[in-house]
Amino acid sequence: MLDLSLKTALVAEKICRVDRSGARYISNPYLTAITATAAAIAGTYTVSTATTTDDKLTVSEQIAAGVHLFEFEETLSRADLFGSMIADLGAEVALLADKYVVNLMTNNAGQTYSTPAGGFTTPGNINQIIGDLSGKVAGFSDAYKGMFLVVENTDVTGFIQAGMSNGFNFADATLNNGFAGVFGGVEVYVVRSGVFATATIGTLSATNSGKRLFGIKEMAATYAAPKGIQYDEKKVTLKTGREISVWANIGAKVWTQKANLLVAITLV
Amino acid sequence: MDKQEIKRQLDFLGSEPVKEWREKFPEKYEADVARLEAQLEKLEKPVKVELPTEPKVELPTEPKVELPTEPKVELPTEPKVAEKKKSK
Repeated sequence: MLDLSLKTALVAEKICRVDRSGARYISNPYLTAITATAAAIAGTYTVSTATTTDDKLTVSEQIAAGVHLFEFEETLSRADLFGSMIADLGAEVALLADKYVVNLMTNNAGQTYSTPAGGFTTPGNINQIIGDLSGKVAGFSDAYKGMFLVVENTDVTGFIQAGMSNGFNFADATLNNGFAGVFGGVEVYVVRSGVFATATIGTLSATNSGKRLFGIKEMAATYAAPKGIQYDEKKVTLKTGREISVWANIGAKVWTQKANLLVAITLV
Repeated sequence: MDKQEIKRQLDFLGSEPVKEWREKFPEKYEADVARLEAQLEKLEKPVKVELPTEPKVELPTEPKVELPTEPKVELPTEPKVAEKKKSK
């Protein structure tokens, strides 16, 4: 195998509910909010009309990559070019799918939060940010799934410095082993710079440059990837070798009723 | 983020494909635009470059040389000889 380019870590499947059923639509209608009333005992009550609202995930995006590998390239190479190419294309497709999902979740987060000046790179801010964010979702019955935070690699310095100087055992552990990925009960996932973007990704208009994502795992959003990543190879007329294509059909949705379990963080 | 990137993001936020998001989250849109405009203003504000002022070099003042004053030589006064009263 050839050496492949560096890839950013994938997080979507760790923070979303994942569906591989092959369905084009996942329907999830919701009820209008119902409130109970308390009053002096009288034997009567008021009735409101229950209505349902449609909400559905559509597998709407196709992430694809393709190359043509000439026969002489493969024959004259001492490495398995075909295998390397499939692996590289597959990784690139997965990365873009991941970027799409993370940005869709951040776009549609039900809550917002602005960090203190300096954001995550200022070690002194970390305790406050983690405390503030936890407070945003604390008390919801869905909080038992655990909290996650997605940051970019440039933010890690603040976590490591804060970890090294907070407490005794925790500081010692961080000093010995580096950042363990959990801070204040929040699982911290790190992706590379540029994942949070203000740009068009497929049909999504992402508005997330300078933002990060926090929330409750697996509750607010679903990520659908029927059949996962697929590939094909075909002979092409007038060319030796083969054309290789790799693709994934995906969709993602932040459920309206659960959107407040996600917090879009603005770095200040 | 440089000025060009901030302007690109502002244009993007105001573009047609983002219309649905703007309508769904007007407060997020306003906050984002305000944040980016503040960053742009910060970058566009002319930076006052203060030239370092030359330090005042104070020339060492020459120490005043006080000339030794000549000791006053007091001339001995001749003792006054009181005139003797003439005895009658």
